[in-house]
Amino acid sequence: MKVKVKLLSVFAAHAREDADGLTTVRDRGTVRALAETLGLPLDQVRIITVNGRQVFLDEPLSDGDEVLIFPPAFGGG
Amino acid sequence: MADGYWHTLLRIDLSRGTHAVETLDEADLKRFIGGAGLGAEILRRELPPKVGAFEARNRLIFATGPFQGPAVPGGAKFSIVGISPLSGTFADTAAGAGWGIALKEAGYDVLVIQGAAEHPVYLQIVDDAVTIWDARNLIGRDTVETVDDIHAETGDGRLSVACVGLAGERRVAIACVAVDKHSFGGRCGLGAVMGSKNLKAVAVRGTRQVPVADLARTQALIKRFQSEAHQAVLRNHFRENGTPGLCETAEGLGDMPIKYWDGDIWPAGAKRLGAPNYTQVLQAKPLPCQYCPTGCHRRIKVIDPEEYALTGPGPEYETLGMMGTNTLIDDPKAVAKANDIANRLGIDTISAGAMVGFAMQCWERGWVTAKDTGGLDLTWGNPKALIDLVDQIGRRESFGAHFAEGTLGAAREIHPDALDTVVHNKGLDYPAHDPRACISLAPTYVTGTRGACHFRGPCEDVEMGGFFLPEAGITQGSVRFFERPNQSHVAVKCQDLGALTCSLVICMFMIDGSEFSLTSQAEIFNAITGWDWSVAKLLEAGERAFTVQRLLNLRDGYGAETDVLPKKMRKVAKEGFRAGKSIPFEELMQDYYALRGWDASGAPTPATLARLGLSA
Repeated sequence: MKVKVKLLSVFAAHAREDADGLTTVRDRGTVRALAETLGLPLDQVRIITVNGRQVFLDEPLSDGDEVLIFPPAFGGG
Repeated sequence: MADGYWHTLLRIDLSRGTHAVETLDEADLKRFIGGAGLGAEILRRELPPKVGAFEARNRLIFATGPFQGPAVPGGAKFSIVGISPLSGTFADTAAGAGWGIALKEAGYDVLVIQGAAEHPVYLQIVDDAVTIWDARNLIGRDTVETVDDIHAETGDGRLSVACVGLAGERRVAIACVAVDKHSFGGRCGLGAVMGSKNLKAVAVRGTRQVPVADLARTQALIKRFQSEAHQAVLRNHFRENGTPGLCETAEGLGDMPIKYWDGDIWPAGAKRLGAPNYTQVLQAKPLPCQYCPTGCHRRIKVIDPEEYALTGPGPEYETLGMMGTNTLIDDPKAVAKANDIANRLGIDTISAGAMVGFAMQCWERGWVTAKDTGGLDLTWGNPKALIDLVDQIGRRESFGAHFAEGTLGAAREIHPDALDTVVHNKGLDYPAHDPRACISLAPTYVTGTRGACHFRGPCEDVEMGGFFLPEAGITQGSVRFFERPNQSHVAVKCQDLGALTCSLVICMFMIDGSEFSLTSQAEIFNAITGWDWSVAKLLEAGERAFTVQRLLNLRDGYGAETDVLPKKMRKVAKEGFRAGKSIPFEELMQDYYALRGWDASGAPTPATLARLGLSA
């Protein structure tokens, strides 16, 4: 299946999009599977939204989902 | 006693021109640790309620803790405490560089300054030698020149210098204390208090090493934690990006201020202001405080355009938010220039940015015109407006003089409807984190003992996944955005952590960004003090410190009736991550008061005070 992924800041370099701007994940895959596919550091993948809703790593994905993965926000000073 | 303290307080009376060394009671150290906790208790004992910030009897307390002796990672910190000109109540601000370590090496834990000199002076403290020098020749010198002048005048280039710029001299209510040219005790206007005492600078150097309980263990732990924290900040890019690395995440989650809190989204602006673009455009490199494994501050270099040229400390995330997205300016060089002006004149960049955003809003609404501003065009996004107005505010001149007593003071002068639009608690402007995105910030800001502050309770970074506090039951998933459960628990524990951090004293970015956990901090605390405290006991000391500060707030006229949200925080976003969401404020406050053990008036109950060993 294919999902739309948006990666911000230090995660942006991990983007792996096809010509349509979509990312392929194995069927019935979770956010964790997607993060592994993209080579993201799993311990840093803490803020995730799918279709605008906050989820965690084990959230199952569906074809066409919009996934946002934010680098964690520390040092907010 | 080998416990990381000298047990000494140096008191200087500027009215009399005298100084004396007093003994600190060990029981006080074991209740308040040091820094802003001990400083608050000193204020409570020595001042009656409702002392004006600029009264000579106001205290200016520079306080260290047990972490300023050995080279603890993040221990290059100290607290400054006094009554704030913005709030009229307790204030503390922390700065870094090497000043706190220098005071400790000189043989003192705490410096209390009272009275006011007849003319401008500066203090030189080198071990037992305490000298009050004439500073009339330093008047008008900026925070960089002052350090150079004092080094030249004393012939001692190793003095660590905490000073005020022109803003402090002129009692601008957001004046900061600048340390060694690159670290700033920014918030709450304690630089104006320093100026009101005719005190231009405090220059310190020492040659002593404070004894600790277990030196070998302390040194071994320092080595381990230095290495672990350094590896952590390389792994998570904190060293590479500093706080500007936060911009895109904060904006994406609706946390970054946009258009003086009326805007919802501006991803392009956040991307341009934040790292990695920041790093490239400003040629930024880490600028560490003494002993710091992280190096979050930035040293930047701007060559062109010529009007923005500078070399020196670069803007932090907070400044990028308040002077950048808040004013719809997305040029990092323009923000860097305004930041540099603020640093040199000695004003808080958070409040200065808030003031410019507020002024631009007033311009848009027609409350001020070119006639009022002397021709300065305050249109959103105009970098010249930012740079010129920051300069005017710091100098207390032209249109900027309206802001001399804070944003609230300016609002009163500008327009009858303007007061309702000021975004503050206790007169302190909101920093660059929006409680409508991270709702645990709502109780944190309204009860903040120094006013609205994320840094005395960094709960937004818990919500945004930056760090957790498993020792207090806070782990990933403990809270979800916009949902009530556990949010007030996170707010309370992060405030206690904030008060503890400012008492030890250690940089908040050790736990928040550098993975130097509270459990590890307890280990090193025990090696230094020999007190064998649990993490729970440390957090309780933080709660005690916070509560003493709250008692100061209460006696100065704050309470439940001032624990309220500014009107703009009730406005719901139309787009972006927080679209359609509102803060369940009353419910959060209900939870918060219950967790704190406060009654309906916002005062700690007798049972709460008894548990903490405090009297009202």
